[in-house]
Amino acid sequence: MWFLPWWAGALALGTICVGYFWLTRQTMGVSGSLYRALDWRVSRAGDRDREAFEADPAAVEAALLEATRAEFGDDAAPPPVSPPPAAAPPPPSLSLGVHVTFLGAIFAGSLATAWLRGALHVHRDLGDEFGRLVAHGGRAWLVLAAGGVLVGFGTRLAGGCTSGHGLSGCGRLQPGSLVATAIFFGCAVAISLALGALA
Amino acid sequence: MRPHLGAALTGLALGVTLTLAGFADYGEVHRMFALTDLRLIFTFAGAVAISFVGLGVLARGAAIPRRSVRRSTVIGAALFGVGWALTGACPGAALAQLGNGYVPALASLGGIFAGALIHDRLRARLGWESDACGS
Repeated sequence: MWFLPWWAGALALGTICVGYFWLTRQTMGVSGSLYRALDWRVSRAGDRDREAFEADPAAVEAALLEATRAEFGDDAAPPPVSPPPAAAPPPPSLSLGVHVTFLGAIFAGSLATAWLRGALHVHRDLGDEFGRLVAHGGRAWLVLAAGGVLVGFGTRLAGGCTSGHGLSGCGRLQPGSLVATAIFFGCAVAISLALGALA
Repeated sequence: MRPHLGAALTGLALGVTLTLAGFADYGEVHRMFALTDLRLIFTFAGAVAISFVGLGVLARGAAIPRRSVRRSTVIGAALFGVGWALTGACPGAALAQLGNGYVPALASLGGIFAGALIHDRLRARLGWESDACGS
């Protein structure tokens, strides 16, 4: 099995990260998309609210004013003032459909690639290396599920993964992302060295 | 329409690249972390450099949330690193493993979703403050 030389992979991944921002005006983050899909009820409610506001902002503002007066009396609401000119309005966040499209496309792209290079087989394990280093058979599934919990819990807590912190965040030199990336790489190196030593 | 098209194109390209670069292959990922083959580390570092230039030009002055260092960032990243080394799967690579026919990646993906839900339960109960996920 051949793989891309480092410079070709880097060129492709970097272009994808920049292209995602260029086309969507949001930074790319697979775990962010995954959890937006997981929280689909919340995401969909947010999409509906945003659509209502974009369709008729004045009506939403009037309803808010009305609700404020009903709650606190006429004195509570200030007289309407014209809003100050905004410097740069933040771009609208992406809808649930966009996130699901992104995730489905990652799966479809890898499926098509494996098929086109004649390497699409149903594997019941993660390969010889995994069996030698980590676990075989039924235990492999348990280890993967437990490891997956660490990945899910960790990326949710840290607010990003290899793409969100690693590419988009480090690419913008964000302190949290640089620290997160150094730590997740460092911990993965420590565990992998330990696995190699124990095998 | 443009965000949908953008997500579809970049998602497809990401699936292709993760597969061809070897991020969906447990052995390749393990050799990267065991520091016996630095090809994927260079791949990642080069991609960060390109993102630095590209986002520096395109995202200048854009309203993007800043990412500061918090305790949750440190603890979360450490757990993620352990999980990635065990499963060979970061969230994107888990999808690519599945696309490559690795059925056990279903266990990793299920674990990722479960881990996120466990996090939400604990956060609500313990009153943690954590970062909002990117985008």
